[in-house]
Amino acid sequence: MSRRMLYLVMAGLACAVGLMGRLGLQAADPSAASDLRKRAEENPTKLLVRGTTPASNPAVAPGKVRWHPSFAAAQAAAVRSGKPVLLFQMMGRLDQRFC
Amino acid sequence: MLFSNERVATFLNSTFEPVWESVRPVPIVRIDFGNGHALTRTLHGNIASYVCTADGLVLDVLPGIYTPEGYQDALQDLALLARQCQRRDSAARAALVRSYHERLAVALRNGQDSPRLSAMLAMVPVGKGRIERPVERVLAGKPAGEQPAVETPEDLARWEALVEDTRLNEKARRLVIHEHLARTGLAAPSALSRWLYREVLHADLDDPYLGLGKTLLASDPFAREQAGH
Repeated sequence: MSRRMLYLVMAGLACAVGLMGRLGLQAADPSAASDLRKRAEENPTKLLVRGTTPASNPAVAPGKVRWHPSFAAAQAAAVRSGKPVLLFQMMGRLDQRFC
Repeated sequence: MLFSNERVATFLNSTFEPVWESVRPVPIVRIDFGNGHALTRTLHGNIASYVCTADGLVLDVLPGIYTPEGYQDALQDLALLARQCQRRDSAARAALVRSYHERLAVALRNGQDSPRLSAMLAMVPVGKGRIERPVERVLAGKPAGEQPAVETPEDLARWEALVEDTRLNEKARRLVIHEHLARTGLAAPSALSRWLYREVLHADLDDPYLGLGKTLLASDPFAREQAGH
């Protein structure tokens, strides 16, 4: 057998082994392949739902007021500036759309 | 939103050191109409605005939501109170604040509009135009000074609801607050917030259903059956 022929036979065997291995994997774990199909089917639905029914409360800017990050920080600023502290308390978050 | 109002934001930035905090997550209702349309709203959310000294003691609280002008006017008075407190030692400050709350409680109990703080403190006379502040006009049944462009019946209904909320806040709710603060004296916001939300804003923070349990769950004919499972 010439060297070229040997090379072709070896390459063919390698491909056959690889293919058989993949088939064997699918046989051992059929869900692996079905997972790929399931994901492909569900993704368009998930994208549609995400677009029409917000799953989260999107972030928004909390107005045009320059808010201190904490009550303690506002107090410290008040000591320096002489201004009183305005504490705005609420349910929800001022930096979320639904609040 | 109130804090997107340019005038309100400028006023707050120049007059106060502002900070916001959340007392708990707000209930959110999402109604899926099943045809691709969905509606999202908050439920029973409520707010409170405390004006505090630099050492963290509450001078007064504005409960609930106000019209922009009503909010600014009420806070203007509280900023004036804060300036008066700065000039006094702690004992005199406590006495001043107690007197302030007692006087306002008496006025509201007698069905009067809240007198202007500048008049109470005998400061430089305030002009008549300034005395007839928009909130007082609201309380007297006259239209508020600033009204946004109303384009739809829904806009008008929302504005009228806001005016009514301002009226309720300035009358009934402020009276409860003044009476309480006259009794308790100066305290930190953390010592007041649970009482405020429960007794004034009617949203008990310790109740997982914020007081809505009976309303929301009582009408479910299968509630007992499901509870049994």
